[in-house]
Amino acid sequence: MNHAELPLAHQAVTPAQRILEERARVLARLPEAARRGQETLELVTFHLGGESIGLPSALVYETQPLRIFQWASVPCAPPFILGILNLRGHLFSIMDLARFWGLPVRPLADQAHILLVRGGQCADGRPMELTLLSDDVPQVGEIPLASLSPPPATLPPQVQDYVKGITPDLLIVLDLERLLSDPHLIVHEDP
Amino acid sequence: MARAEAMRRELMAIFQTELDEHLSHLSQEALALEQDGDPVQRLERINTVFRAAHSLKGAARAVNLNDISQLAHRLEDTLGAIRKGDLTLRPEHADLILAAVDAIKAAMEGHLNGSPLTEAQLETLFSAPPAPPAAPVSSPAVAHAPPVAVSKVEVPPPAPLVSIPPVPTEATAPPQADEAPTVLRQTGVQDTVRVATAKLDGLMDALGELLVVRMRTDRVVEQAQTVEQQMRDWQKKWRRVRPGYQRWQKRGGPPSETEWAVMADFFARHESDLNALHFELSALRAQLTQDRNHLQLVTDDLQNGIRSTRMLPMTTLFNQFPRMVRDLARERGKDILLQLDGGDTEIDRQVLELSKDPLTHLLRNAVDHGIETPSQRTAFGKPPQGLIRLSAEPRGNHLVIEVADDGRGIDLDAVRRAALHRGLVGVQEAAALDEEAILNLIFHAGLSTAPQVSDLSGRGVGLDVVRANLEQLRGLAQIVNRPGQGVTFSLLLPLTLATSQVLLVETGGQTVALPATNVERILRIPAQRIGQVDGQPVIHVEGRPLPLLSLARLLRWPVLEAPVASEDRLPVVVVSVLDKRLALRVDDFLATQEVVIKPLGRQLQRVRNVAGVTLLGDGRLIPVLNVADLIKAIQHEPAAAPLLVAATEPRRIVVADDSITTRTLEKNILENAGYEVRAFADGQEVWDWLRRDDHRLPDAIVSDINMPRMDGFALAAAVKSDPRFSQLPVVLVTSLDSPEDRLQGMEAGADAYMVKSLFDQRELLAVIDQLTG
Repeated sequence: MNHAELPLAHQAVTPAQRILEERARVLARLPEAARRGQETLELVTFHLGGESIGLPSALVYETQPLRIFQWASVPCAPPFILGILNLRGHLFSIMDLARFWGLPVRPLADQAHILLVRGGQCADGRPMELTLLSDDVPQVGEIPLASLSPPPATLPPQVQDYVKGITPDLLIVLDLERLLSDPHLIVHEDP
Repeated sequence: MARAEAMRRELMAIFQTELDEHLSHLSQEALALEQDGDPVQRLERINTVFRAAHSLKGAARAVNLNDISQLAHRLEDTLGAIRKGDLTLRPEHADLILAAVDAIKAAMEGHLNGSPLTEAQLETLFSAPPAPPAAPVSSPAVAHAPPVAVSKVEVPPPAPLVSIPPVPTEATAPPQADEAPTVLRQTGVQDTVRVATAKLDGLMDALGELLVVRMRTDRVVEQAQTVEQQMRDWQKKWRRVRPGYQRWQKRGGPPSETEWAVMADFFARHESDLNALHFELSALRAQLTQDRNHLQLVTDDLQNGIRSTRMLPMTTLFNQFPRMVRDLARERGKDILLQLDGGDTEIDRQVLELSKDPLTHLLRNAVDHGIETPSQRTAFGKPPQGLIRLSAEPRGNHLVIEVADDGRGIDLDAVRRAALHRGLVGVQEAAALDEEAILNLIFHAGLSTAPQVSDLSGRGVGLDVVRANLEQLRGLAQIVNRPGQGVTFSLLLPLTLATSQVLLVETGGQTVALPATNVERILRIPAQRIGQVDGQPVIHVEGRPLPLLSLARLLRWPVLEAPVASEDRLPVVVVSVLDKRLALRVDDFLATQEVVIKPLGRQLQRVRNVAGVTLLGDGRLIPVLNVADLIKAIQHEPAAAPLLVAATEPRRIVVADDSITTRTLEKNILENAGYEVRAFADGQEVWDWLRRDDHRLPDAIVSDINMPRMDGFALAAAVKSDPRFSQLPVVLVTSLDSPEDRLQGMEAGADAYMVKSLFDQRELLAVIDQLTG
């Protein structure tokens, strides 16, 4: 599980050089699973309300610290919409999956990041695009596909719907395509 | 393969644009042919049509659409015969051209849907009349019967063609004006846009200027580096001098000779160093100022240039109407001339597209209900031919589009009766309605405009569609009714949606924007002039009472406007949508500004009360409000948003927590939201105070769980078991969230249970609001 060996965000206080070297070392090494010739899944992983979440990296286009944006909350939007941000002239909603799933509310983390994701399909046939809130700095990792097991029954049903599988160290890997195609995501309120 | 396919698609897109142009041209000429009596002009028109058909034939062949090419060919043949004099030109030939236009459209539709028409279908739609070479000028077959091909009304189109847009409905079909959108489903406005080369050249010029500025920034960066280097040099010199200086400072007395020499040398250079630095900085500032001014000009140019590429002449839309009016008038047995004015006025593509449906409706209404039949008109002493005038005229930042007919006008009493019948107004209310109010009623969903024909059976024409689209465009509608003489509908539309004027206001500590078209006036009202009607705060504007509401409350912001003291003058914005008005209390007016309103992204397709968001110059994102929603919101829940004014007593909340920090925090949050707060250190204190009767009861209790003497559970249980207080809402707040605690809290009778870690102002306020509301 290389993912666990990646440098964690809160260690970023050490000199940048050391982190970069560490990263280079990790990146240079062939993933363990790949070395063993297993099929692997490349993931972007992050924490959300105490859970570890993994998203297929193919649908994650960009991650940025939330604090670099002048984002705004949107009045009368549902609680799972943190607000809206301007990414190089394009506006994206910021969605808090934890609130979407009804997990307890937590304060906005200093390290909060956003992940620009694109996929699934809207009613008009275009892919859905939005940004997801992460409580920490998202990491890139790889897991062997075989290590995924079906989600345990203890997961709340509203979360279970979108879970592709769960790894032995409790990383919840989401089926992002499915999540992004869910019409419940779309806010369309009649007055 | 993929490349070829892409190429084919691109070609098809180009062809479609060309096709639309040719067809629109053909229709225009055909209609003109019908009106125009001058033989020379007619022949000229025939030539024009002939050329258009010919080009179309070639273009269709180029993209391998043989059926279209064939249809064009048949049309060309027929016209050729007329040109050569083999066929006499008759008004019916207009029908022939129009039939060809319809057939070609149908064929194109077939290709787009992936189901091209069969030969037989094409034949049914349009076949050229035989052009007998020997047919003499007065051949009765041609002169009296309509050309074979023009059987579009009599012959129902084959099944796959049902959806062909411009084929008129069968003559027997009941007239249904509200079907308009399906009849002209194709917008006629393409996703691609043709831009005059001159406009593009202008944009390229502006871009060139931008590149110049960009290159200059390299130099500015160099200059800044020079300044930085000079500073560094100065620091280096100072570092050499400093140890000696510090030694001398410590020691006191006069400096030694060497110390003095070093320091004197440093000070001597100091002046020239600073001068050099100053020189560089001035140069840098001058350069930056110049660049800024330059950028302002260039970005203005670019903005205007790009805006103008979004503009289309009104004719793009207008040209679709003569055919529609003609066909519809024929069906209804009416004779109507549609006069178009101001077609060259340019308007934003989006505005153009959105004004299509409203105009279609208004025109169909004018034909259906406005203009009388020729015999009726003659009886009224009017010319038998009715006139509908469709005009566009720019007025400031707006465009006024008018649909004026010289028909019978609107029967106000009939509308009044219909509104009463539909339950839109009460009996007394109906009697009190003035003309303006009645005319506004016809924009209501479900209210038929059939009263125009004094026919209350009513087909429920959707003038509400007109209103809905106007709302989207932030436009306005006005009706001038001249009974017996006609009706004029005026639509006031913004010339462009690219930018709009907004009023920025501060409310509940946040900035929001209100579209200027909805802002009627801004006022500062003395608090004592706020009255009450049915317990609702109202202000009087022009003698009419307007409900006064807190904007922050309507928006569910966590913090409301500051409570009002009687001597305050309240900032109030009067907003309106058509006849509906509302006064909104805000914290302050900030500015009016020209802004670009953007949609909220793919996920937020429609958020109540929010029309979009705009980006201010400083990078801030500001929500732009949807005033129509705000007005609807208060209609649906009139008591939802009472205003916090001195007149209404603030709600009182009791806070209990043994931590002074938490207590103060909660107190502040609640006070900022306009509540009156009394804080206590434990449950016993609350309980003792509550049982004294020297004060009025609070509206809610917010209590910690773990407290000395009496904890939250005990307090909740005590409150709930005492009949005097059992109605009092109790909110328990704790740092520990365990299902057991939650359960115990609920068993103790708590109305809400909140976890401190999820302590969110909004959450708390929402809960309190809900419990005390």
